[in-house]
Amino acid sequence: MSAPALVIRGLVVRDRQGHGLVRGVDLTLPAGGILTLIGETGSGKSLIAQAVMGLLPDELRAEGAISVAGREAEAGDKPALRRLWATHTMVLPQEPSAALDPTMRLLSQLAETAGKTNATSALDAVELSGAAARAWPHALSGGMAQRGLAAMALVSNAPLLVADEPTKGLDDERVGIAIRLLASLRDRGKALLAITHDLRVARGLGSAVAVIRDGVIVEQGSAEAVLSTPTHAYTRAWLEAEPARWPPRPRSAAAQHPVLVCEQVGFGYTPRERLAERVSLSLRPGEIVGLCGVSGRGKTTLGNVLLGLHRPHAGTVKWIGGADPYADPPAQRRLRRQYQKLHQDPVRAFVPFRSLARQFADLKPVLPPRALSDRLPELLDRVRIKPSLLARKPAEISGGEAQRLAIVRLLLLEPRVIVADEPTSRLDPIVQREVIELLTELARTRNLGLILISHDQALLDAVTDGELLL
Amino acid sequence: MSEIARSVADTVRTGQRLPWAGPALILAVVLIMILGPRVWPVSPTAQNLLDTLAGPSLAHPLGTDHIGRDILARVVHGAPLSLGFALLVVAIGAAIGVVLGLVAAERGGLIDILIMRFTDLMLAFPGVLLALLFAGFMGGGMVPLFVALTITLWPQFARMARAIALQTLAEPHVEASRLAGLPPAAILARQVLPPVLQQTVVLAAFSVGGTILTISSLGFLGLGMQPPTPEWGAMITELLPYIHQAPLQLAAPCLCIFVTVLAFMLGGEAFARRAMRGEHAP
Repeated sequence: MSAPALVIRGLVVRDRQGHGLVRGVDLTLPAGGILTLIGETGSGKSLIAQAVMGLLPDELRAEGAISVAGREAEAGDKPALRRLWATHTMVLPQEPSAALDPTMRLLSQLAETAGKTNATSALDAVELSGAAARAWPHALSGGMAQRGLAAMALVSNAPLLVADEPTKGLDDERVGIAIRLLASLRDRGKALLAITHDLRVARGLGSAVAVIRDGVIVEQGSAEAVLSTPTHAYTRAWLEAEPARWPPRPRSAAAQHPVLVCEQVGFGYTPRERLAERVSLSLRPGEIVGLCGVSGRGKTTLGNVLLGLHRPHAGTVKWIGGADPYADPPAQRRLRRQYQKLHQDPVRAFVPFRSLARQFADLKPVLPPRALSDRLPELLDRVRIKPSLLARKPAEISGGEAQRLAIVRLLLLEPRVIVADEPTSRLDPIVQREVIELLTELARTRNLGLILISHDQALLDAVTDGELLL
Repeated sequence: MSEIARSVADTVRTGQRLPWAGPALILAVVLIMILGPRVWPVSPTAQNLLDTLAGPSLAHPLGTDHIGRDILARVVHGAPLSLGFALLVVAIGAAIGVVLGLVAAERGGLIDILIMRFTDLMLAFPGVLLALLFAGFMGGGMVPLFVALTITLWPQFARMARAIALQTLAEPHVEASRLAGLPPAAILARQVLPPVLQQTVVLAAFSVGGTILTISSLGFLGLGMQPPTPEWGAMITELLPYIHQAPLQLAAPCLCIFVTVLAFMLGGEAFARRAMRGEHAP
């Protein structure tokens, strides 16, 4: 048996102030094996990948030893680690289409280093042959670009591949494809270190799993053992945060008048470029309707159509009392505050250079009287946010806090309908669960209609009363 | 013109190693502009035909020109005319441009098209040419010069303001404010104007340098401020025939222009760098 593909001993990464971001990590990845490192944002998992590649930012200091296929290096010796690129280590980047040279055809790019025969056989192995192999990178789909990079990994001599968040931003179907592709690389003798916060990757790749929290490995072992019978409380909490494991929700059966109806709506960016036709839905107070579909099918645009932000080409949108926001501008102005949106990126939903307290104060003219003095403290308490946090600017709070504050801001406006556009896709699983639970509970207790846009089928199955597939 | 000076600043790279050099130089130049005439209260227009083209002396530290006027007094009194005038032109040009750019971005549609096509039309003319035409038709003097320079300046500011405003208007935080029913003017003032202003300051600093050069060029061509006004460009025109007899006297206004333009270029660089690092959040 040859030397292990990767051995990390006593890896410590410190910032300028000497705080340990990664504190004493030991990992071993056998030749031709797979190790999935899971952890939430800020847990230090990406720093480990960067340390292996010699790519840590200059302001960080690394200690410990890293050995790749028998080649030893100090973790702090970045030039030595970088000399291992292509011969020993290779990164599979997050954005595959950006990693290909746009000025060269796929086959020529591979042939440049590996020779034409090797390049062709590698492309055959990932099922990119014929026209696809001779295509320019811009003509490749995201999935094809990913396979192109996998072929590049195959022609390189590197025994160790590092994949950082290989499934970020992919929908269910593409996640499965990406996982199969990564597994096929192992079948061809490559060892794989996958860094992810997506449990589907850990489950799909199998083999070994390590769970990292606050720069420390809290649990490691075979994927089967860790994911089915976790020993550490944190791993358990994480597994339970998966939407598929959430308890079923009591369905609301309120027979009230709908607060939002759309009939036979057709919409798109321009009249020629239509995204969807004949979409109809009806939303009652307290009801949660899921909107799902592959990216690019117009989920966000439909949300905007319903909110009176994007005029449809056909059909009608009716707000409360049958008011059409597009045909009746005074009604839109009157009802504006009652139809609100929760954005995908909560941090960007706040003005970056104003303190949060000032941004809440800015709303004063449009809020009901005493909303800021009486209701704001109560709502902050409800979402467990300390009022002192409002003194900060949006970049200084976490994504979960920002999303909870965005919800508070919406509630101050006393809405009837909230369109939540992928409200948790940028949050970690445990935070995602908190936010979704908060939203569903608010829908129930405050009787507001909620439209939940997501590409995560399991999430929608867990909480919605009905679903619309685009 | 500002491109040339900017590349000079890039080559010098002083802004990178001494980030305070630009702001400090600006401060020094502005102080000289304000305090100079009091510290050296000699008349810039008093002639002494018995003492022409004299070298440096205690009475005339920078010598005298061809009709015996004190060069130091002329240089110091010229500062408010060259620099002060440029600051005023840039301030007004920037204000017009920013307002038009914001209106175009916020209103969109026909208003956007009208404003921006007019801006393109103005940008299509080389700035100096436009100013030259204008000053030429209206005759020399302060007012035509002021109008001509402002006309050449505002289009750049309008373009920049519109570009940044469009980007900001597409941000989720603007959409959230609109959905909350906040009036467009409040959204523009609180959420869109600050990032626009941040870039405006950078562009304005660069423009001050360029404008001083244009004022001086027009002065040199006899189309700017007229003699005996001690404007730096006009001084160079007057002294050029005596370059062999009085090189120091000619160098004085040249150096003033050089240092002032450099100061504002470096200052602009320093501010741009700060803005890029996000240290300066209004």
